[in-house]
Amino acid sequence: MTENTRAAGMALEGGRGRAVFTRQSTGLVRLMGARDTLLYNTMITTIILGAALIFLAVPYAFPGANIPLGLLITGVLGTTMMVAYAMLASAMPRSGGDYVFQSRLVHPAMATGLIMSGYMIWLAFWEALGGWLLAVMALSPFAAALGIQHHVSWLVSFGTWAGSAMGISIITLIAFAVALAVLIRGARLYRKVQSALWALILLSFVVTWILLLARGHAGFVSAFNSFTGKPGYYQQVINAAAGAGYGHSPFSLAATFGVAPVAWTALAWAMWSVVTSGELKNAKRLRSMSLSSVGALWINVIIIAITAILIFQVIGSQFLGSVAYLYYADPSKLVLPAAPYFGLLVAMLTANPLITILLALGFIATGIQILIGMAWGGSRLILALSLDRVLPPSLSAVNSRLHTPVRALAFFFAMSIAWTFLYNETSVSHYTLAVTLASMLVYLGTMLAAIVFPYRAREIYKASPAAAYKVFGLPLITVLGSIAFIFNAVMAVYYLTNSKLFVNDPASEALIGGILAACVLYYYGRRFWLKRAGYEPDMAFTTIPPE
Amino acid sequence: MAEMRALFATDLHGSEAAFRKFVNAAAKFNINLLILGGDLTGKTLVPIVHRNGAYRADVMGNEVEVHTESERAELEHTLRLSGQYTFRCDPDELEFMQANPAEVDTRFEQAMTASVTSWFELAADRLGGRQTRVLAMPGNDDPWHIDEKLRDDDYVEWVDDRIVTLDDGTELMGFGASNQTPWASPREYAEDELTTRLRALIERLERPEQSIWDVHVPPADSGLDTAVKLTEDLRVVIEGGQTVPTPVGSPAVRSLIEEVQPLLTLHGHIHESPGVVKLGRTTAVNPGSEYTEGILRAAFITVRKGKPIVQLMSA
Repeated sequence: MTENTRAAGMALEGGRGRAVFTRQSTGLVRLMGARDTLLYNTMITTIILGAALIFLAVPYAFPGANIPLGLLITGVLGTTMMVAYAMLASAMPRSGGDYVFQSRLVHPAMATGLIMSGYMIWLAFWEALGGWLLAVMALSPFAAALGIQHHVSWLVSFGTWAGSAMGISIITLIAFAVALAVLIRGARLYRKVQSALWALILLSFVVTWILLLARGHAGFVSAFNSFTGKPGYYQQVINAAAGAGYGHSPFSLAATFGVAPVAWTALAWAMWSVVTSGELKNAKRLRSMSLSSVGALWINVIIIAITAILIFQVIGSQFLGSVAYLYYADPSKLVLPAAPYFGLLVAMLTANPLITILLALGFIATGIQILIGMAWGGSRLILALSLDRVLPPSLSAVNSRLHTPVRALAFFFAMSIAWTFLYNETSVSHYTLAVTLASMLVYLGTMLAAIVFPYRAREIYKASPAAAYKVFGLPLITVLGSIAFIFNAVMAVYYLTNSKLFVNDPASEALIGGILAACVLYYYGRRFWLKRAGYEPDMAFTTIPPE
Repeated sequence: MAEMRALFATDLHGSEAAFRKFVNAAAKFNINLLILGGDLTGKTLVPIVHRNGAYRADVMGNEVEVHTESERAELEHTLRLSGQYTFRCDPDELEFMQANPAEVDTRFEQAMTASVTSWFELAADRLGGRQTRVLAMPGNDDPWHIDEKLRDDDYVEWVDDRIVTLDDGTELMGFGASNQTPWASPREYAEDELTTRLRALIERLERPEQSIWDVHVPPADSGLDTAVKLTEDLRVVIEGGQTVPTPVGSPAVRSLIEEVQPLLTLHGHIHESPGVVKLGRTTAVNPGSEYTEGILRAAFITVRKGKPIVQLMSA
């Protein structure tokens, strides 16, 4: 057996200087690096959507906000959550993420309620949102812009149709079919598609920056007036907003904090790899996971902040505030061929169809990125829930030919189709940001798990890399979890109290609360049914002393 | 005849916490049959180096230093809970071991044998009076030398390459070796050899279609065998920032399951691929393993109206 041993320093992950002997056995693999997961986390964060919402919703809901400063604050506070997630994941790797953290460390009913509602049902809602984004933020404005600039009437008509309820639904269903086909073909194709999408998104941002820098403020005013065919329309929009009650506000720190709840819609996903991957547990992994999620958060913060600085300098903060105000409060006074997300405004700066198409591809890629990424994550959560029999185990069956969970994916897209109908045919679309509130409830649950981890699962905590880090004698994970919990709680309060975020109304709150309550009830109903069928479902969550 | 209430766990890899939970689960859940799949032994040996009045050890990549005997004992306990063997030494002794792999082998051998022997003693001590049967076998990662001491244990029944009859008359067939892996672990066979050896066992079953198979390696392409893809130098293959899953189970095992269609098959080997699947009429199970976290992953098994009811659990 001499040949089977490895000398000290030949550690599990090939790290240097570890005084541990290992013997020849399966599973001793080299660790994936921080760069790989950084790439994944950066790509999964939907920055175009985040930027589009921030540039339109923030000036409306929080006039006087300094967006770059708000993003900085979001990044600093959000970092606490990223590291807390990394610590949980390094202690319980390959385990199903938030669902496992919450069900094992807090309570299975809470975990089922929050994860099924926030990460399964509301994640399927994101699919409808992704389709809507593809139609309304990408195809509709860019087709209209190209059509108007180059006098192609069918493109203008297509742009109008793409923004209609029927157009959105049909475009969404086609996109679902494409996303499902990609995901069923397997992880390898998914990753290639994801990388290509990210390249297009980055290219779109670079083109945006170049256009804004090249044309400047006067160039935009001229381009806007020319695009709309109304000389002086730039100033008329500002006047119309003022007449409708909009007052341009000076800088306000309180309003600047309001950037966070909107920005968090996109930026929070920078931790996604932490909950969906991971093969080994060690300190290097904790550092790698922390760096990759924190790094991805900050890369996206910087990209959006640069874009914000340029957009508000070139287009004008008073004009953007006016456009946002009219779009949300009095849309009849804003005559534009499509919704005034920043893509449309930037597209006005060029008459070159190739550049317009490059800009459009970034938005199209974001829509597809949401569709594929959310379905990928959603299907993984379905697998985790079905392993505990909270969902029927048949949903976790892996197709033996394709090696993919075809049933879980089909189930997820079935939910998404239902949401698509509701999103485009009813007033549910009004509650788009409710999905962020639902996600925040999941983050709150997981941060609660982080806070109690050292006390509720003492042995697992002591054996984890997180145990090495303390602040004033307190476990660092408890401290970070507490800060992140408060941060997310404050974000949730924003959503529940600020009517301009469209969640603060009885119908929206009833929808979020109703879905959550239904999922908790489902858990208890399922538990009852399993017991009658001869199962003992509480076993999955039971604590057995190791002594 | 008592209803079978079985608990199957596998790939504990020396984790004291997981094994103790496994034994304690018998009383908690009124289990009358514990089945311990393969890979009983740990993979790492951590020196606790005594120097200048302090003890230093590598704990998951962090160097931990403790000063008192009680702190040292707690450190050793923590490492043992997660499946790591420990030994105390001074810097000179550590240097000697680093230069002499044979000495490391000896230490490993002693630690593995002592650990598994103490497990069997603990099982007998805690369960002997409960009429709970305990079946165990090695896995591909377990060196052959552990069999010598464990094969004829007074309490725990060693089922590797054997068939035992359970209290309800069901036959259980055990087989711990795996197909070939990139690590050339101690118990591996080529697929042809696996077929030959398994078929020889199956032919000894009186009612193969009603039997339970405790076969360490899972069937190929079953969803119970999905591992991360590796390069030839054992690096994880990364595409788009994520690992690439690939099936690594045994085609021979799958083929035999599909041919014989036993009632239930129990597997392990691939820690990150837990699940319960149907292969024809056969229910196949891999409870997975999270031994490094001290988490017990197991499958609770009962039989109702001739059909197995399997439920995965973690504790």
